[in-house]
Amino acid sequence: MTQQLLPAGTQVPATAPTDPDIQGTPATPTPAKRKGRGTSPAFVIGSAMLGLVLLLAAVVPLLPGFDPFGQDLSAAMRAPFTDPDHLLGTDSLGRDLLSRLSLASAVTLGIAFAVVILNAVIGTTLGMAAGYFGGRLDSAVTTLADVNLAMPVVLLLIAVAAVTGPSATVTIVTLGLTYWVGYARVSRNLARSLRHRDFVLAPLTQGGGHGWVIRRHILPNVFSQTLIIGATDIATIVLIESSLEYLGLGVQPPVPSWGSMIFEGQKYLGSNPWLAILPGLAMFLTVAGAQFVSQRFTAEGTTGALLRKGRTA
Amino acid sequence: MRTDTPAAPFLDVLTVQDLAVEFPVRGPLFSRTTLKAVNGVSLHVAPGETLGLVGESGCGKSTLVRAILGLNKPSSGAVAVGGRNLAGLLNGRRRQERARIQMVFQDPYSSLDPRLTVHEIIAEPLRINGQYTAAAVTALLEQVGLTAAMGQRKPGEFSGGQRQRVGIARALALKPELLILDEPVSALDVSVQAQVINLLQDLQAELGLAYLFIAHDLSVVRQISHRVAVMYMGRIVETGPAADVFTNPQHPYTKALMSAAPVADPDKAASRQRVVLTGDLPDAANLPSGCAFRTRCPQAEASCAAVVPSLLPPVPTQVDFPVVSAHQSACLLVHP
Repeated sequence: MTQQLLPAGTQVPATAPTDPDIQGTPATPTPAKRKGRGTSPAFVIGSAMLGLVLLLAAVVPLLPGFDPFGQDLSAAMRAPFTDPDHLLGTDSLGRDLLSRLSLASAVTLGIAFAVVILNAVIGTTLGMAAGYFGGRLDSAVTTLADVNLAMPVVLLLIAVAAVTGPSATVTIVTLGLTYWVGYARVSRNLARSLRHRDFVLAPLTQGGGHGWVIRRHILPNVFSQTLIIGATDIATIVLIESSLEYLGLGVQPPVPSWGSMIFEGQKYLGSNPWLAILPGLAMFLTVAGAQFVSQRFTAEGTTGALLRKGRTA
Repeated sequence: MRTDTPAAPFLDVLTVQDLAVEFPVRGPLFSRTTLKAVNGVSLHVAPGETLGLVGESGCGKSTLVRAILGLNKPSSGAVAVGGRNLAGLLNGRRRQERARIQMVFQDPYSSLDPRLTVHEIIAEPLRINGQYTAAAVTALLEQVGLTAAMGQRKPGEFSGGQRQRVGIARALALKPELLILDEPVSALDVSVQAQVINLLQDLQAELGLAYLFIAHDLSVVRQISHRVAVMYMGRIVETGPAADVFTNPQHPYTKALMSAAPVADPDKAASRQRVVLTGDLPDAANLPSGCAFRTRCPQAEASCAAVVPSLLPPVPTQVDFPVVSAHQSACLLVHP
């Protein structure tokens, strides 16, 4: 059994005990069971890209001269690296672009994280309950998920914003309540397949309730999968959020976001293209970085053992 | 074959009375029928006794076990532990009584959570019931022939036999009086099978445990059982002391089952009569009238289609009476 865990090409020691059970000694632990993790170039590059954006969002506000709102029309439309006071230049109102980019990163990433967490909590809870209990609850959740997929989110957001007025909260709540289907599907199927495993039945025969089983056996196995989806979803949500900001739905001026900065910048695409390129670059670094980093989870996932059927787990 | 009598043959640990479990199934078009997975099963297990339950796949063994453990709701009949009917008890009390019966699962690979250490797996029933101490887990590990150090490893690092030992330790955690062993060795190598069987017999002698031993391997059943019950399509068709049932089977199904078991001695194997059954198991949702076995029975007569045979001869139901282990069978040809 342990031999199946060995990577291809590993030599099985010739002295391996033929019947480890006789003395009750454990099967020899396999040497070099997994490859060193985190060394893949994609992961390193991805981390560096994400790190750069996080640095931008977290460290720049601490620097002297951080001022995303102060206008100085005499110093408007400076190109990057031409003015020591404004490292990345200024926009049409003379506001410091580095400061604005930093604040926009914090705003966009903050919204994206909030949305992903809301999605993950809703989707995992609904999916796990549906898969574990089955029956009517399962049909209800599955139907809800299908309806959800058919819903035009942008139109919905426009409708909601028309009633309440656009704001970050409206964006978070609307996206947070509509992009949970992926989490629900995955956790439903995992819970369904786990429900009839004997290790889930065992505590039920020993006085444990459904709450115990879900907490101790279903959730931990589902959670790692949720993390994987979350890592890839951050990128998707950043893109969606930015397109909504581009349309003017979401945080309102003067607070910047990547989407609204690109929208403002495109008016000056001929004279100062950096206004649109820099927020676009930050978005690219985030999305591509998140994809590269999440590859590590999907390639040799933390619950790969579980998915590779119970036998070698 | 065991000739010794159980240590304390009084008040049964487990009594199952006329238990039936039905599942709704979709028939042709919009019709709905019920599938009778277990169809009026009665059995009892005395303290320290091993009852072997034999039958081919799909005969309802697992459903019966699940109903005893409370994982399936029986449609009629009763399950009593220590003579107390579980149906009449409040939830908390029922859970407490049911803990006197514990289960060892068939597949030692899917019955242990791969994420947890062996120590945590064995600790789980203790934690659920608020009895956890590290020393208790160590004692359980040692009881099944493992060491305390092994508790820190995960199931993936253990062999099948060792995993099954972990499963047994988990089942022993709540100090049960009866273990339900659902084909506990069928997933193991033959050499390891013997070790696990020996462990089970040692534990029985040491702790006075009763076993409900479910298997399709007749030689294993023969070795470990005091009494045997043979199940076919949700009913018990023959039951009695293991020695009687194995040497003198009465029901045609039991005869066929016995003759299908391999014999080690080639001379004996050549001379004995084989009863080969034809046909498949009937559809459980659409059982034949009368005796469910008549469609495959080599001796079936017209009358077999008319009456459902009951287990005969009748045995007086005992309450606090030494176990009457009469040899009974449910066949019209044996008991006209």
